[in-house]
Formats: sequence, structure tokens, C-alpha cells
Amino acid sequence: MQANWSGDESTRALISRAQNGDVDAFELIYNEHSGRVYALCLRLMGGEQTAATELMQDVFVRAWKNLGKFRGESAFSSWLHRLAVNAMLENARSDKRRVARVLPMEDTSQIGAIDLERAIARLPEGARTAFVLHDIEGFQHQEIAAQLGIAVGTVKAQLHRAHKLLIQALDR
Amino acid sequence: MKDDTIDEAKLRDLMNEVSALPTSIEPPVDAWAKIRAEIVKTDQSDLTRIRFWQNPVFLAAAALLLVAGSSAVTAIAINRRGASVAREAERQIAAAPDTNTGPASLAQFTVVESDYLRAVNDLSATLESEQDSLSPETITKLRASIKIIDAAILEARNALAADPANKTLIQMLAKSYEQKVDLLKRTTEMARS
Repeated sequence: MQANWSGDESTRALISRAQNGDVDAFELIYNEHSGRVYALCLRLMGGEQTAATELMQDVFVRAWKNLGKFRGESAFSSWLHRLAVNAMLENARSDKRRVARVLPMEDTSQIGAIDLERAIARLPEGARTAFVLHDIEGFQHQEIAAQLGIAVGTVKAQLHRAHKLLIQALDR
Repeated sequence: MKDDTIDEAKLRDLMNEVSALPTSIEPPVDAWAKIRAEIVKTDQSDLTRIRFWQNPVFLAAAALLLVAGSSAVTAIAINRRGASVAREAERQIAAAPDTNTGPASLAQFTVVESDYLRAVNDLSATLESEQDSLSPETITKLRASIKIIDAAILEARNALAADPANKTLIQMLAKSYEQKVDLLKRTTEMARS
């Protein structure tokens, strides 16, 4: 499911221009990738549009500042994805208010079965992150564990919880 | 005991629904404006930083600092009564990050010195031909800085004549030459920009 995350010639040319300080080229890169990055940010942030927009903006500002370090070993979109996850983790660490918005792990009674997106948004943060990265973005358990700095077993457990909670929510 | 198993059919249904989710969602239309403002601001602060480094007053001050430090090390290194201080200076020099490990002996340095002198001559000639694009103030500051570095080179040279095996002095002399080449290079770049 990780299609369209690979770079092509036009993207490479734009990246090269942006690396030389061409903001217009960077805007074209933004236009090409922002939808995908925003979808990821929106799901990682539990459907909160303001938080997702801020996260996406943070990701692209970080991308601009670090463009010189992008050597093209990985697809540009994967690189952006890593920036998004890192930014999300940093924000989560610094913004304790988010904890209050996260439902307790076992509190399935509050998960409404309105639709899948909303059910995903209402998952506990750890389960949601694992689910979004694995089942929507198509990353492997090991990759997710490395990015989040947790054990592979923990990723699998979070994923299992996410599946269970989502099935319960959508059954209602 | 709590049942932790998941119905395979339900999981398949869930995955089917997941695969139908959009992979791209249009962000708010004004999102780019804030990003652009932020990166332009970043670029301007980078520019300020570059200008600060290119500022002739800064260059002169940097040269003064280097030479003042170098002169102090020279004085310490040739003064046997300041042996403990000299050891500390040597330790600091050894600990400093240095991409070029530098010549270990005066004989080795003599070989390297000819390269420095060639670079200095070439850069000086280039600068001479392009000095019209520099302000009089910059040229004055540059000449003053070069004069100070040359004095440090001469001082280290004289000290080495008395103590040819002193590695600290050899490294210091090499660094003074590096500083001179670097100063000329930066000023040449400034003249061309």
C-alpha cells in the first residue's frame, strides 16, 4: 500500500532546485506531496485539523531546513514521512495537553461506530500510530519500531489492540 | 479470562475498508503561506549570519583574536618557566578539531610552506585585480589583518629558529598560514559576490 512514495525525475529536479534555495520549486514539491503528508498528519493527530495543519507545516519547514541533508538514498516521500513521524513524536513529548484528548486504552464504550476515519481518530494514541503507519501507510513492524523507538512486540501488541477496538467500534 | 482473539472475517472486512481510505487529503488552502513565510524568515536569518562572517570588521577582529591567541601560545611555548601553562596550551591545540593534522616537523612544514606561499601569492594577485569592487574600508581592514598575521608568522618563524623541534610552534605557524589563506579566500569571494 506504500505506492506513490517513490521519487521521479521531475521531483528530483525540483529537489535539486530547492536545495539551491529556490522557494518556488519547493512550493511545487509542497503541491505534489502536501495531500499525502496532510493525510498522514491528520490521522496521526486523531483527526484534529488544526493540529494536523500545524504538524504538516512543521514537517515542510523542517524539510526546507534539512533539504541539504537529503541525498536521495530513500524516496523523498519516505523522507518526508519520517520527518512527520519525528515531528509528531516531538510534539507529543512537549505537548502534555494531548494526553487529555486520548481515550484510555480499554475504554471501548466511548468509541462510536460512525465511520472508520472517526473510529481511527478515537483510538488510543499508541494503537492509532501503529495502525496508521502499518495498515494505512504500509510500513513494516520493524520500521515502525525503529521510528518510534519501541520494541517490535509492542508495535504488534498496539496493532492488535487497534484492530480489536476498531472491529468493536464498527460492529455497533 | 478475557478473550483476546480477533475474528478473521471481521479483520478482513476492516482491512478492506482501510484499503478504500483516501491516501491523500487536501490541506487547508492557506497552509502554504505560513510555510513560505517561515522559510523566507529562515533564509533571511541565514543571510544575516553569512554577512556577519563576511563583515570586514569581523574578519579583522577574528584575525586579531587568532594572532593574540597565537602570540600568547608562542610566548608560553618559548618560555620554559611557563612549562605547565604551555602543556595546557599544547593539550588544547591537540584536542582541537583539526581536519588537517599538520606537519610534524620543521622539515615537513618547509614542504607545506611553499604551498601556502603559492596560494597566498595567487590569491593576492586575484585580489589585487578585483579590489575595485571592495570598499576602501574593507581594503584597509584586510591590509591591517594581513599585517597582523604576517607579524605572527614572523614571530613564530623566529621562535622556531631557536627551537626547531617545537611541534606547538610548527602547528601554530601552519595555522597562521591557514588563517592568511582563508582570509584572502573570503575577501576574494566577497569581491566577486
